[in-house]
Amino acid sequence: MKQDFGQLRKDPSRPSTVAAPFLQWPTLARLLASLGPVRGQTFLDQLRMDVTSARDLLRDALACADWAGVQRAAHSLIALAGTVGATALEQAARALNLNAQATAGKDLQDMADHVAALATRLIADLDASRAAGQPLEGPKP
Amino acid sequence: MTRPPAAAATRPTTILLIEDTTSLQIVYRMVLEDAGHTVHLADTAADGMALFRDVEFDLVLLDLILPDRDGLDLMQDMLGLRPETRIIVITANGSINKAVEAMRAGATEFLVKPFDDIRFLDAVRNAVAQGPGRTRLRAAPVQDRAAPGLPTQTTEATAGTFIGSSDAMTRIQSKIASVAKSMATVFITGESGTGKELCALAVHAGSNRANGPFIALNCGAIPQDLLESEVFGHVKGSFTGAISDKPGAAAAADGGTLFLDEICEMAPALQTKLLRFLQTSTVQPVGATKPRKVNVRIVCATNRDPLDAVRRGLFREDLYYRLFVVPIHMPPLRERERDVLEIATAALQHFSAEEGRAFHALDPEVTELFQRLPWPGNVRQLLNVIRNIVVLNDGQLVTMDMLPDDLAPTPVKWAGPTTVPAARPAELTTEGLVGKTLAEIEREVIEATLASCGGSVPKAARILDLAPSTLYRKMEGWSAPQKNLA
Repeated sequence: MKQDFGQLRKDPSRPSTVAAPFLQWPTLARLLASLGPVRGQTFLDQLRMDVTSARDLLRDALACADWAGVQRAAHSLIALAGTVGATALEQAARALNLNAQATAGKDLQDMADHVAALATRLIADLDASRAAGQPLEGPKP
Repeated sequence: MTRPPAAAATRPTTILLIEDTTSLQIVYRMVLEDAGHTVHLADTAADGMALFRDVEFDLVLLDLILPDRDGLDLMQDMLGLRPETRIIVITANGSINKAVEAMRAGATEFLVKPFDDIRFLDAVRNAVAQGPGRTRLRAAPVQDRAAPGLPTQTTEATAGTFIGSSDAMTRIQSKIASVAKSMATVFITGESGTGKELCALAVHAGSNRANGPFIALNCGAIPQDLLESEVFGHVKGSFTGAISDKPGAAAAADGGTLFLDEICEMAPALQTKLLRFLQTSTVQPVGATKPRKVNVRIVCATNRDPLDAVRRGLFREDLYYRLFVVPIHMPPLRERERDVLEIATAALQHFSAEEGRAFHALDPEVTELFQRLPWPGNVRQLLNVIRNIVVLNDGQLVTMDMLPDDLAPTPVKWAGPTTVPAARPAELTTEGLVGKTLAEIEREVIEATLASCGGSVPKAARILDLAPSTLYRKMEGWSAPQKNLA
């Protein structure tokens, strides 16, 4: 990987320490390379906000048995996670979305908690990567 | 997302993107603007409708789930205001029912998030170049569509221009030149990614109809219950969702060429109507009382063996003989000698110029590897590989370490022409499968087939000899809630 990730890269020679198989780093790296450093940074900031607000919407909707809200949050998380290669979150959100449609809200608590936890993990990974100044390449083999 | 070749971009268009998630707006906008389109953004249905009233857009990209309103309701209002509007629905809710509902309601295309930008721009290009529905209208003479000579879905070459000096391609060029001027029906066969549509365009461009429309219809990508309306059109009120008259592909191609891709996927009932159309040169839209005479040249294509489809009862024999007048077989890339290098080098230079890279040649080791690889995805796969290399690397020579991981490092030379090969992970061998459940094996095979088809469910379904709806159901089943979520 030889792209310039702008503000995200502090020391390109330093090996990556962000071990995050949860996220398909090459997918995100390709996307950031396409966006370029400025738009890429804007995207990452916005991505963090969008994932956070979808996760919060999920929790709030669940608390008041708002199944349409649960589906809306799951819908957002499927697209966000899929776009950046957070496959586990994408699949869990897809399962939640499907289940919310099929059961109209029954037995969603565990599943929604799991999705929220994965969303939190994605946020943490993005934060950790930024804090470490990593180029979001993920661990080297 | 990987960025597709800029040649995928068609003429600049004004697009209304209605999407409420800002980070997705950023990505979609980037892809569209990089392809030369002008994008207007709205993040609510209300804002989208307001913009729609003020500006005449070439295309609307519509998220189905919006904060203030259901996307399908909004689409109905838009189509009520301007029935000719082309709308691509984008949603993460990818059920087949939702897709059919959206198409019935008038959507031009249905994209399931997340999607790669090749598929995204392909959908935009097709929608922009056509009338309502999924017929692709190219009213401008094909020769005027100046584009670098890179064939495939993502980079259509200038019609009539194939890169490659192999004997096989020279013979095809000669055959196209001979047949183009006649009215004879051309039947193109060949594996996915070999350039069948490019061949059809070349036939059209070389014909006396080159100034007429070129209408391409993918019979495998349209739900069967919508196909009749797509081919022959419908009149307003003929069925639920028919909110305006629609001419259909056959009438739209009047004076030009109708390209029926994946013809073997056409339902038997519609095959009968197509045969009648070929015999009488008249079309009768769904709900219409009178037929209309049209002057259309037919070019069709399939990646199946059409005669085998006849033997298996999937394709009418009389229709086969009506269509199979001048056959042209597009050879797979592995049988095109050094064409692989000519195409790779041309693509490398084109993509490098586009991405601001300095690549100009392949390292000898890569050259040797490229000639040995079987290229199951044909030219389309080769172009994707080159695009991947150019985007992710820089330098003057393409070296082995730049190749994508999924490109086999020690491939076996292709042994002979058989059926369409699929890219398979190493574990899809008998040894790798023993010990797994049948359901696990089925899933692996389906996923590998989908991967080899670039994620296209209709194509994968054909290879697996399943109905697409069956495949969708299986995929949905995998996404079903699991008991153990830990």
